[in-house]
Amino acid sequence: MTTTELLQTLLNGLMLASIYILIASGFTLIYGIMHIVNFAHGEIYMLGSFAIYYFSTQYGLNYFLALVLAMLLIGVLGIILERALFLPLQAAHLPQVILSLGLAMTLQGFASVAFGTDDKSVTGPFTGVIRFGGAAISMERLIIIPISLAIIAGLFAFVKWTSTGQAMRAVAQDPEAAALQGISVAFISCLAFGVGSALAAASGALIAPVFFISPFMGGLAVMKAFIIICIGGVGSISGAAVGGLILGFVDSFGATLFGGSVAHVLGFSILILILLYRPQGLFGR
Amino acid sequence: MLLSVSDVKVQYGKVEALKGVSLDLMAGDIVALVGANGAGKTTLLNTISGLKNASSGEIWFTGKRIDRVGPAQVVKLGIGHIPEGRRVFPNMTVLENLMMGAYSRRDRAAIKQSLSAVYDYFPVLVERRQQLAGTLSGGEQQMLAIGRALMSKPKLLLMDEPSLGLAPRMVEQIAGIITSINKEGVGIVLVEQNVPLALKLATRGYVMVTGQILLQGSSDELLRNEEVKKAFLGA
Repeated sequence: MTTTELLQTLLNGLMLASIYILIASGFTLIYGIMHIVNFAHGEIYMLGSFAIYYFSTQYGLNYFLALVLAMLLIGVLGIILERALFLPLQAAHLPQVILSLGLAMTLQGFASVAFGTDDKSVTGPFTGVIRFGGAAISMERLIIIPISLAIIAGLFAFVKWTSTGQAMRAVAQDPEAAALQGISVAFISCLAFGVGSALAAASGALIAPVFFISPFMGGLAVMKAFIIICIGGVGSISGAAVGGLILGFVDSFGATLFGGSVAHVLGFSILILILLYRPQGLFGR
Repeated sequence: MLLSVSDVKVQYGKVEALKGVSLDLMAGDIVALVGANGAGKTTLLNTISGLKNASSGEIWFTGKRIDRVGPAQVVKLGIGHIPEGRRVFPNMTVLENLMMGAYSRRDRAAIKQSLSAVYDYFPVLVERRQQLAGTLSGGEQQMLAIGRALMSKPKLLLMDEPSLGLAPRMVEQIAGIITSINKEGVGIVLVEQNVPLALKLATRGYVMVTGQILLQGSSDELLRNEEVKKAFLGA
């Protein structure tokens, strides 16, 4: 591998890692608090891509404004879905997981009908290419890194410094003890689903200009999220960050060295290794 | 009358865990609740604090009916519940745990005062305030759990087996703290397997057996009671 290729692959890896960390943090937040694998998470991510497509590419809103709008709207959608669909099941985990599967299929179907099944192209906020040494990376891809960083930093700050964020951590660690402090577990679960959805939407919105988007793009995304939280440890946002970095670089180097399909296999191989030798994940308990 | 539990029945599926339990507490009382494992003591506390719904009966607290309001509201009304096994948040610091106790309060300045008061009761928590609660010893976790409950400024504390798993010297310390807290005017329902300790701290007691109150009376009466002596005091 030449230095140019190395640099390119590293930058690409960072970009992928940024996207992965966003979607995985949301996924692990939902798992940590509601104790369910949210199979609809990929479809929420897909809706984020389509939100930016419509707001930015079609209606011409400023890209960053469209991003914030997409996160807000889909976050609220997450809250509504949780209240309407998950809350009535009263913390029965298996029915909720099955519900999320049904929700995934419904959202995919809805998107196919509403948006059409053909691939669409989203225009990013910047065009052009930046050169580092001999390597060239499109602005489109590069901008993803600082924006994701900002969002993740915001999430860490929320969870560490605000009382609502701390209440989320408390519920994740011991819901009954949390209830005894006056924390409403139902409200926190709702909020977790909303915040998790907003993060997935951000991930989808940020990656949209880079690849074509379609109603079916969610399936692979939720698989990546699943691998990452297994590597990092369920319920741990730091774990999602580290797992996302690992998978981002594995996917990028795997694709450059061996081609796309082999890269997928690498990701799953790491998952199998983790499950064999450290099943609780790197940061798990 | 601070707390009044009237003929409360609680079911877990088809099993009746509480078969019509009544209990009273005046402001400033310490009442002991003793009995073998499985008698329903924890279930009764959980029902008072709203973690579990009663299938029939009433619970009144400071003149308000609380048996249907839910745990968040019960905390706001002034009941703090320290569950069995401490149940501190293991991956949060001592300080974060304490602040979670004040979650339902908005009065910043008064919360700071409560924190000072808790630190006065438990100086060891000051040293350890940035430490993760899961790394504390059993006795320290118990102090943290009590401190956390005190942060909500309760009028009534429900304490479930505070002496469980603690060394005798620590138990003495906790006992002293329970007495001090009560002297500040906080009523206490004390569930304990350590019957002599419970009856020493409390003025009155209830003995529970399989979901019902078998005996009740002043601590002295219970300590002299033959059945109590045989069952719990190894006489």
